[in-house]
Amino acid sequence: MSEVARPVRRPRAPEGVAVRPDVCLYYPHFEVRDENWAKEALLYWETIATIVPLDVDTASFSSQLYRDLADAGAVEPWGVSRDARERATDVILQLLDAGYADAFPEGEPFTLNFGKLTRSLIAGLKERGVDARATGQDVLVDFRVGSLVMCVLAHVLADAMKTRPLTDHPQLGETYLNVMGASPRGSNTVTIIA
Amino acid sequence: MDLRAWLAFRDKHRRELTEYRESVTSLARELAGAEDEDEALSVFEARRATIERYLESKKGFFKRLTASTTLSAVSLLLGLPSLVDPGVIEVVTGTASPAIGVKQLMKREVHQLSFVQKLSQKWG
Repeated sequence: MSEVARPVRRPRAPEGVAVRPDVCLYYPHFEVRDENWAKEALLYWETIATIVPLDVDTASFSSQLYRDLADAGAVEPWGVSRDARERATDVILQLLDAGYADAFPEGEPFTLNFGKLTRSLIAGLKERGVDARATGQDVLVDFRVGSLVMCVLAHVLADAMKTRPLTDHPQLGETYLNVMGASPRGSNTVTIIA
Repeated sequence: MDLRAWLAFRDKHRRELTEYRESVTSLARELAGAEDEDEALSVFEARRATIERYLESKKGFFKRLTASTTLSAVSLLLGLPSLVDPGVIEVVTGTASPAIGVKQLMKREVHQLSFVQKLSQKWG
């Protein structure tokens, strides 16, 4: 039975997942979207982990790329522990307050699953006037806000897992580097995560 | 190459792939540790003949995996967005990310690696 068809009790990272140097962490989506990018990444890592909330069934993923990777054991969905989400939330809200969402590229509205969020993040987004429309288990936000959320979540999780956060959206990685590079060492943002 | 075939080939040649990863990691560590562009160039040139011999000996393997016989070992590694990210991790957390063993990159080193990436493309 393929990985995508099998009901999986998905581990929550970082506590429920063993640290392995041969796994990288993909963001910002559930599924890798660029096949060539996946091939490049898989030259250096055995497995690509993706952030998938526990209430999202990977069997619902429609892309053939994900299915092929999953069948070969080359992708591994990770849930995210509440603790990691809360740590990320603190940073996300600080970056939003500092206006850093504007630095991210524009795009189609971004769907964040509730499992990737905390209640305090949703409340924080609304307090800041961010248009966060709930649709079932999902929250639809501006692409820049969604990108910022996923960048921070991926980096917090990757740090805890001692792995590498990777994206097939080059602008996201570059933007995040610029944003964090502009944040001086010892600033509140750094202190919160460290 | 079709992804399924690519993955099967990757699985079949795991030993070579491990060797490949180790050699790239080793080179990347050396390049990231250089003080300046001149030193990086010097390291690069010093390793050039060895790497060329290695790649030539594995020509068929790399051709199938990377669709290229050029120095993809460096250009692919440095072309990954992840190589920008280590600096972010370091800035945010102050901790090292040992996944590939590349030294944490400060701005100067990011620039340096960018230089090396261009060099490797030119060489390729």
